[in-house]
Amino acid sequence: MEAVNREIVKKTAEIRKELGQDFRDTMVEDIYKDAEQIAQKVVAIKSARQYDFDQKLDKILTSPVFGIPIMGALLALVFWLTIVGANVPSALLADGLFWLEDQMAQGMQLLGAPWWLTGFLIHGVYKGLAWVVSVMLPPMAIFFPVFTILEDFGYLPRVAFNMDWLFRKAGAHGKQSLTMAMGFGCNAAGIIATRVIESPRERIIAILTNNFVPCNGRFPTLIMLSIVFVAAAFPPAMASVVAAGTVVAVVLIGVLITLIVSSVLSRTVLKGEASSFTLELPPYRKPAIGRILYTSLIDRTLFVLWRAIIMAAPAGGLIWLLANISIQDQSLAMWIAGWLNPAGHLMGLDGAILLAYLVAIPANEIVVPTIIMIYSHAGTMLDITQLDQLRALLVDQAGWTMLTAINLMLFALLHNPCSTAILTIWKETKSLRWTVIGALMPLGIGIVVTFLVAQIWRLF
Amino acid sequence: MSVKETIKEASASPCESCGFNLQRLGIEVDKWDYVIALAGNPNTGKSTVFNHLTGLKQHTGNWPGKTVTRAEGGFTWQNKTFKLVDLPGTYSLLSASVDEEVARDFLLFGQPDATIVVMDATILERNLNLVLQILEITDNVVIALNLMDEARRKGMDVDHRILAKQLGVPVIPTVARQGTGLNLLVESVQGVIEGAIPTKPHRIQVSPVIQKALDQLVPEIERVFPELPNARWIAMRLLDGDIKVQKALEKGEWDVFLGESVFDQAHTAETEAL
Amino acid sequence: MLIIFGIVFLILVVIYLLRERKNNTRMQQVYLEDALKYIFNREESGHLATMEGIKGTLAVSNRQNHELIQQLQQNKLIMLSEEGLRLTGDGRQLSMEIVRAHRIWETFLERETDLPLHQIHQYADRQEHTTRGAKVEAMAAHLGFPTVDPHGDPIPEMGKMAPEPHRQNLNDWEIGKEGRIAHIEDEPISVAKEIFKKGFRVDDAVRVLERSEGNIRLEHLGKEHHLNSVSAQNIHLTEAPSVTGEALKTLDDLKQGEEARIRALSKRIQGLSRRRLLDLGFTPGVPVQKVLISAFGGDPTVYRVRGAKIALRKHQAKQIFIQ
Repeated sequence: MEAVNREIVKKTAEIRKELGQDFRDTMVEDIYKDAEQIAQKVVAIKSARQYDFDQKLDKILTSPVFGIPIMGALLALVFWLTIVGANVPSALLADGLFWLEDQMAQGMQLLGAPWWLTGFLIHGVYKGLAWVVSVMLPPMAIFFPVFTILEDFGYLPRVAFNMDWLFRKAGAHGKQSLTMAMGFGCNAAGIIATRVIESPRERIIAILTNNFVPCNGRFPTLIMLSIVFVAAAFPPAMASVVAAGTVVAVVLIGVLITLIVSSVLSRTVLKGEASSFTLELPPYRKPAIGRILYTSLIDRTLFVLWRAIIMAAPAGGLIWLLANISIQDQSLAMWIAGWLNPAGHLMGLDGAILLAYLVAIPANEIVVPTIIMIYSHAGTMLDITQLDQLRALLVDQAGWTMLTAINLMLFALLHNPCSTAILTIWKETKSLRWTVIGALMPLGIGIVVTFLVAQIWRLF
Repeated sequence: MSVKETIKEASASPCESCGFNLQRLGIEVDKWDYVIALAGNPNTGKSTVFNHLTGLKQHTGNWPGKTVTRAEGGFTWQNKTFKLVDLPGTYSLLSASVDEEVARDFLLFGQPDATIVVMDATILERNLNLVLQILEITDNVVIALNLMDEARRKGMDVDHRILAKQLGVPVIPTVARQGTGLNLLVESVQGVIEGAIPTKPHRIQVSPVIQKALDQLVPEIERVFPELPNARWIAMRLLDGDIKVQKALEKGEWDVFLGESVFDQAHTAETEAL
Repeated sequence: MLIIFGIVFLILVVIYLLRERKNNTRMQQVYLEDALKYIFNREESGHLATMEGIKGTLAVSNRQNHELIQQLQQNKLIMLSEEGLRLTGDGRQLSMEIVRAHRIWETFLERETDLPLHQIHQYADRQEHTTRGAKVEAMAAHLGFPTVDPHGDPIPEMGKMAPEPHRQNLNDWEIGKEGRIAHIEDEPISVAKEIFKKGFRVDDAVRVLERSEGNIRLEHLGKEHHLNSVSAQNIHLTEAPSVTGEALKTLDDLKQGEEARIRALSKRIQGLSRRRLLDLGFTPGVPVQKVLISAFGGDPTVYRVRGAKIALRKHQAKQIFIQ
């Protein structure tokens, strides 16, 4: 049997030689010849105004003059909607979930559970979970549906078209701008979105650099720092503008680093990877808003819950253990923070911050509460909403300076992806090598950058 | 009954108004009577068709490559359970990009009972590229001629009857967003599977050079695999150097490559050595 | 500035570590294969390889060289004779496999990636030692079984190498006669870089206009070029031009709103790009209209083809000829 089959393969090779190299071209040309003939018989054009609306809209949305400003305005609007819109539900969720924490703790007490069990399960595991849900869910539930509406409308390919010049120079694909935009919502989602890039090299570039845009979970850190440190140095009237400007500046640094790293990757490690470019601009279509809102809400809620349970809950438990297991009257957290202090000092940070980033690998949302917990010697994660209290704790007690704030902002931008994102890189590339590079490269860059900034800062 | 009559008959069927006797099963399909593949270009409303039929809320979008891995769902229709497999949206099956590999593999090696190809009526010619390739692989095809409303708005008159005659398979005009035509679509799929609607798929008119090559090769393949329905397509793929098809032929097994991508292998060969 | 410095530093570290992974045994294998390849190339050009030749080409010490030759002999890959080194049947077979891997890789790099052409030889030199058998065949199939590499050299197949066609050096080519570039030598790299940078490719038609002291003036795709005779030494021509030497109009030359029919896709678009363009309907004879030009010099630009709007980059549009 197999011998006969081999014969066929051999014969194919012979015939192929006679056919020459143009087989593929000829094949496609033949198919399209048939397609033309069929289409001619089937389609009758009644009026000439067929492309009118699309073409007019495209002339505006991709115009050399208005295209990019419109895009910027839309992006700003999406951010504004996300941040402002998420405030109230986030606060409500936090209130509700933390109220539940107290109730459950009391319930456990009534049942006679030992303090450590209550502490670990309720103030540790549950708190980590609740924190992530209240920080992450509202912005995700707003950001992604708005994005999906733009996508359904057909606007996103136009963004890729407008931005391609920038990414082409970095050896990347215009569609990377979209995956970055998705990354603002969630880096894992951004990495999945790189599927739209059909060219292998450009796709890997987009996956490896997605972490350089800060996601919803990292935004609160940036916002807090810009308000407490940068904006505080300005008169109150300008404070909010300065704070917003600072966050934008950090984001722009992230974009700049994305472009530089993309460019370096495409010229070194990835130079031998297959590369191509095509981009279809589909017709504009009315988005099915109701359906999008519904499905998006369900999708995001499920995703955030899954992540909170799998990733954040164990981290919450670990943090509680670190804060409550004491050796020689000092908690484990304090010990570790102490050990990490020299390294932290070199990077212009401190041991508590590094420890927070270590335990927050599963979920970056809990970085700030963990830092506050360590500083205030508390047994559980804490949030302080009063700005002057927060200032007192960070500046007067923990000795933060402007350098600490700047480097923490840089480090919030430049460090390893959270575990969900790392897992996603693995799932999308199925390559250990890319997963390791994707996890360690941003961290390495973060260490080098904060180290250099700290050393230079201290020179003056 | 000729194809043309069948389709006329089907179009006149009163079932469009007789309500939904289609029961959506979402992802819960353990046992099924028939497997249906759902193929089409990107941006044709393929996922909308999928969502409508299965009740699953797949994330749809105007964007190619959304469904890179296969999504599956199910529905029942007239006491038969259908498993619907949503393939990635592709322009062709020839380029060997990852999406196209997934789609091609399922059609060729997964051997679905029928394939629904969703077409964008407003850019018929481009969509036909994929349709004509699929018709070479399998006889059991039903076309969902989607976005008919958009075509009308753009001043185009697309005659699904002529298209059906040209392609030799049922063509159902649909507006998937509103669910128009989908009952009829499922009915035609069942008809095609159970033989009530005979099909005679269009064959690509190839250039004389290629025809000559096929004339030499096809009889050889048919001699060894008399039961193969698509020897001509296999021959074309062999000539194009489709290593997966070649391996399947050498082994004489057709289902071995399902879910495994030779593109991946070739690709790792390219990247590993770095 | 600091950030840039930091990133560059880090990337360099990563690259260094990746390179370091190549361990010693692999280096040894690389040397053996390179030595085989050298002997093979000498035999192909009708010469005999010598021990000194291997030493010079591989840049190894005397001792290393002796060890290499000893090992090749032990493995029955070469025979030693008075005049020099000779490949055995097995040695010849293995050499041809290496050459095939090398040339398939070059073809892959030219068609599928945007690596500069003068670098593909070096790159393939590294890959040829780790890619064998089924991997090479999968790549060959993926490329549609190429028979000639981007330098115009035949790719050996099933242990057979097509004889080199008769070709003549550009320095000896008759003035005024049109010829087809059949071969561009890949070494030295600086010369290959200059030739590729000026746009010369295998299969292009050229005509020598004038030859003066150490310099050649020639016509290529409707443009005039100058080459010094050292560079010209690396180009070989044959008769029978395959494509016309005139400059053709491309999609890029269209103005916004203008329409034209496609004449052909340049041979310079290959691989995934070519297949994608064909699948999107950019086939000869089809009308294409330029509909939208982006900011920053119209790169990319949107074309309407078969009713759909497709954005192409400038370098692609320049490779699609119109009637």
